[in-house]
Amino acid sequence: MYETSYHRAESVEEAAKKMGTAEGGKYVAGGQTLIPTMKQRLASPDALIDLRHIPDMKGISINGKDVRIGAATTHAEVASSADLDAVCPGIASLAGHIGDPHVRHMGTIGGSIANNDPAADYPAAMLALGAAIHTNKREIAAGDFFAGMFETALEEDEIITAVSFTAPEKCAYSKFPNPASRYAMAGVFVARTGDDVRVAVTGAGMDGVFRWEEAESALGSNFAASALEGLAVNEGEMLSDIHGSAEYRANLVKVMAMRAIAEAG
Amino acid sequence: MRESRDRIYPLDNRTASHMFANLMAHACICFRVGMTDQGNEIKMNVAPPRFGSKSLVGSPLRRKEDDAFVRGAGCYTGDIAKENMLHAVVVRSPMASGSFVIDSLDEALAASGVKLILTAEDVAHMSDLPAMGMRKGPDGIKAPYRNIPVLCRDKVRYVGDAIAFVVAETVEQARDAAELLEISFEGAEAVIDTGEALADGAPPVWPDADSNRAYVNTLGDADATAEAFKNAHHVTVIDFVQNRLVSNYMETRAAIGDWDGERNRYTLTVGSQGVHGTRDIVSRILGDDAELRVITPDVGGGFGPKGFVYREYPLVLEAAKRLGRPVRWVGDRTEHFLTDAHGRDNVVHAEMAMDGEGRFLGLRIDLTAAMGAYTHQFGVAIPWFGVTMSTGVYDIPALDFTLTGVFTHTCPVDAYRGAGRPEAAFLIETLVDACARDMQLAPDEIRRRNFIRPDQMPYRTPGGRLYDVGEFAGHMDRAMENADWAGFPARLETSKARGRVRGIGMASYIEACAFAGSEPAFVALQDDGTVTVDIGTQSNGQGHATAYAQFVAETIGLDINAVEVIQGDTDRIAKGGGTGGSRSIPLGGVSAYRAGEALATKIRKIASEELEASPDDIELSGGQAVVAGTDKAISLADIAKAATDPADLKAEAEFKQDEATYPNGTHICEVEIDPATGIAEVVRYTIVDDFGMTVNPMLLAGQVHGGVVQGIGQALLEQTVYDETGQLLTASFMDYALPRAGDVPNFSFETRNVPSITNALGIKGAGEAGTIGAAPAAMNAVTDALYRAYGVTHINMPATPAAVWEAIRRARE
Amino acid sequence: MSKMQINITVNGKKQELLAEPRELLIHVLRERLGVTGPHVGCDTSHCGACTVDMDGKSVKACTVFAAQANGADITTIEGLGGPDGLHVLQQMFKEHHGLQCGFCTPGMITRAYRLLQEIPNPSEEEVRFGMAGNLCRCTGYQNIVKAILAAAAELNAAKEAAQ
Repeated sequence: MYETSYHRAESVEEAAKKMGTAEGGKYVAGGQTLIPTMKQRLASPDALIDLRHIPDMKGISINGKDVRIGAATTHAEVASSADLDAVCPGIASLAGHIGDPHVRHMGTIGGSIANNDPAADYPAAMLALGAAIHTNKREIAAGDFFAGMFETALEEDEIITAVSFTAPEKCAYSKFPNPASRYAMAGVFVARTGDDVRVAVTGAGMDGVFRWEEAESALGSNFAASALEGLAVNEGEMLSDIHGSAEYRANLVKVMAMRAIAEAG
Repeated sequence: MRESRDRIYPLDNRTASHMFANLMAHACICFRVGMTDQGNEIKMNVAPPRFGSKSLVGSPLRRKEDDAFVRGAGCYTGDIAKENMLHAVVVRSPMASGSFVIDSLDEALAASGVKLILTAEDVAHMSDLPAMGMRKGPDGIKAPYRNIPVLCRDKVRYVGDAIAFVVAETVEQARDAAELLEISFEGAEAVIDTGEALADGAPPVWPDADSNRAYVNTLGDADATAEAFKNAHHVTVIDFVQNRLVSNYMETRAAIGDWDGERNRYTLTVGSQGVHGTRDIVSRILGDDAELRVITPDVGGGFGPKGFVYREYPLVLEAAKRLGRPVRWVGDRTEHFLTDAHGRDNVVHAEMAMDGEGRFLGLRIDLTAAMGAYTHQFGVAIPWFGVTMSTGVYDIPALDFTLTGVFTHTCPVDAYRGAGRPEAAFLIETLVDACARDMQLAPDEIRRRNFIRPDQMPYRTPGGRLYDVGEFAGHMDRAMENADWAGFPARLETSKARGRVRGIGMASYIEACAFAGSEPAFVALQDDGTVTVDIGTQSNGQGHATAYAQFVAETIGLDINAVEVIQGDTDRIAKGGGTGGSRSIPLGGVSAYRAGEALATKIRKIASEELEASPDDIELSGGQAVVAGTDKAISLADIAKAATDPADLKAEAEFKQDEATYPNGTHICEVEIDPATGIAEVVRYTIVDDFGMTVNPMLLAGQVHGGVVQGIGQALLEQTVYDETGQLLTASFMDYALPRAGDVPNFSFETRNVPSITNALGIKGAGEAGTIGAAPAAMNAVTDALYRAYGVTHINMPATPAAVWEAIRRARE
Repeated sequence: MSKMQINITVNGKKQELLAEPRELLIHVLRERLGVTGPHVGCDTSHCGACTVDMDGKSVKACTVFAAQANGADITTIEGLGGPDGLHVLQQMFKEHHGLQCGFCTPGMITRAYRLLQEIPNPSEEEVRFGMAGNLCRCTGYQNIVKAILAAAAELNAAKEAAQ
């Protein structure tokens, strides 16, 4: 690991200010992606600004169907929130299957979204839930936030403080994990409110998370797995690597989508 | 590292972070009689050859070594911090093939904390790492070795090849400095695929040779085999790839070098599979007149590849000598993937000639084995172990085997758990299933027709091996019963109803253990009445401290906790052969037992003098010598005090075996495949093994469980992948799938022991057997499922979800 | 680079030390405090050999900066057993042969310790899922699972007896 410095921020303002004065700084929350990357010397931030202890960024609040999750909330906290599970079981289940228990204890929803790993789980949920990403500067719709692999709408010093969304009537997440890394090879989040259906896919697309609009319209009129039977995602837009071809990933997207629909009921 | 997924590993010069039978695996712990491991019951079902029901030998005693381990008080090489210790990293090649020039070390040497940088010039006085085991080819000539230089001189031949050794006050300083070496590389074309190594125009790994052929060995009778094929009713042909594996012991390698100038003596602390072999080879490389002591503390898994001598061992010693301070190198997981010897990697073509009844007439095999870029320690010999075992448990009259070793620009290949024998068992057991399909015979039926029968024992195979005993139909029948083979059709229907496909597969394997040799044991009665056992094998987790203690405690009437087993120090133990090839218990166990008996005789003699009784009337029990039928007794501590000659308190024994032993058994695996995702789940797994005799059924079951999971890992998950330029794509657990707890089932395990008559105690060896039986059983199950549902007759390992899905898709097209 | 003051409690003992910002918790434990039970088994946060309990949660000490752990209460394998002996999990790992080489064992047991507080009476499947962050190459997992289930039964029986 290269040399760096560390600052633990007590507030969002302090964190942003620190970032403004640091050269080559990087925010760290759980660090479950950043630290391994730094260990392999593939990232070398000169300064680390720790967001994990900012009280305003923690916790889950639920008001009827309106959900707000602080960005520093860990995956384990999301997974174990009974209140959240009652209104939006898909996201609780998603969080409970990220990585492994250790990762879930450290990793945060804000960190996952800010990193926008093409195989991370949360981006699919954000997109399918039509979530708003709250930062210290603004509110960004999930559809405008994710901009391709590891790319987001965030500015250098911008901090995700929370995400919010209105829980759909039904939702579920189904993923096929990579046998080695446990990251998603294809993860599909399906959310339905009335005839508005959203299907968001992670792990499989060359440009990261995306919405499968063809499936959404088919499901709008018939919310059943069978509605997807004649459909297929474009293989040309799927990742292909040693773990699976583009054709295989395209297949997984469809299979996981069908399973998510069945689970959402 | 998330980003490192699927990426080409940018191992540039700055990311430096990046004796035959005796080094092959977890050795074996075997035992008295039969047992089952279903639930907590231990069921005995075969009479012991020599130990009674109250005997310590054969009992599931808990391990002596565990108290320290469960407290976190184990002491592995990387746990040792010496005063004033320096830290080293290796600068490695970022490219698979090419030449290089070191332009400057100045900046690196000037970096904070840096003490020393060694390059090839600095180790010019050292010998290359010696390889051994080359056999003559059909032309009567032995092909040349291509040994590994301690540091590359001007050419690199695989990604990870060592170029320089940087020593600094801290590891991070050494890593920082490693990036400052100025090295100019000129890359060249690389050859990576084993099957492509001999293609016209393949880039040469060794340009002075006329091809990438490392050697050719042949075995059998080509004419007789040709005749058998001419007369055949049917010939079944298979072609497959035996995938390349990385051993992945959880403790990565580490080494500490010390130098004592006054005594002209090095000390190497290293996780090895035997200190004596390590000492002999490292001494040879160092080539100076200094003494070398090798110490091995606790070892976090070995499986073969931890038994070899690697470059870092002479390097830490050289650095320690130059700097006068201890120097420690601890490899990271990426280095393990890049540079610790890989396993397997064969490309195989095999043909079986059969008569109209499915009886085997002849077997012809053409096998290409990857050596990697160099001849590794025992690498050239490993495939040969498989060649000699190629007819398995079957009576096949004619064999014609051609083995070709090839060089590629990849990490060298050597022994990994089973070392040649898993490859042989996989070959014959999957070929036999293919024969059964072709002849429309059930897999058990074709095996039954071709097994070597008990009345044919002892049996000399066409590979030259002499099987002493074996009841192959016996364990196959028992395994089928335990697996409820007859109930499979009903389970298949249940799976079908759930939209799944299901398959069942068996493998009746045989392997060779404890290759001809010996292993001395030295026992001594201590002043406090406890007994020490010094032995030159090396536990890597097998539980030697417990198993040897059982033998010795048995002979002297002690609790096993009063017997201390000492391994891992060349100063303390005069000689030893190390652990590998499942040899420790078949050889070392017998020696320990005999040494214990010899010591018991001496103890009885002293006791008889002290108690004024005949030695024949002295019984040893509970740490005392007692005159039978009386209350006259003397403690072993008092016997130690009473001895007038220290030699009366010591004994040694060295059991020699001229022929290997042959453990065998049947594994039955059942898989359920989800055709939508291609994932194959092992849903039932049954093992019936013949290990001859059982020393500790609990330890034995542990060896089998762990071995089976390594075999299932090879079959379903593990794959070492290089890209066409020679970058290792699977250089971490991000991309190399090691089985997790959720990937495997519980196992039904039972022994059906037929004592060996080669081994003095009937022991056959068991450290590698699980791995050997599991890969073919799992693949036969996967193939059975795919054949039943889709007519697919072949799929290569690993049968990953993507590979299975592709196979189904192709079959449906 | 200037060092930072780190205050952590390790196995009940307060520790104050200076560490570089780039130092990981595992290195502080192993190299500075001599707590060598937790091991380093990989570079990518997969193997779990370094598992420790931090403020009541299982974490991989190789993926936590020492600075992040400042102020935290850390329990390692060395702190699980009481002064009088072994924790039930340690006993059950011995009893059921849940270890061979012992290298992964400190992480395994420390993770299992937390798992049994998260799920006091787990099914076999829950144990296998709950141990997904800990790799073992020797045992094939069967006896690890058996040991954890046995420990759960023992702890639950003790709890019932106390009520």
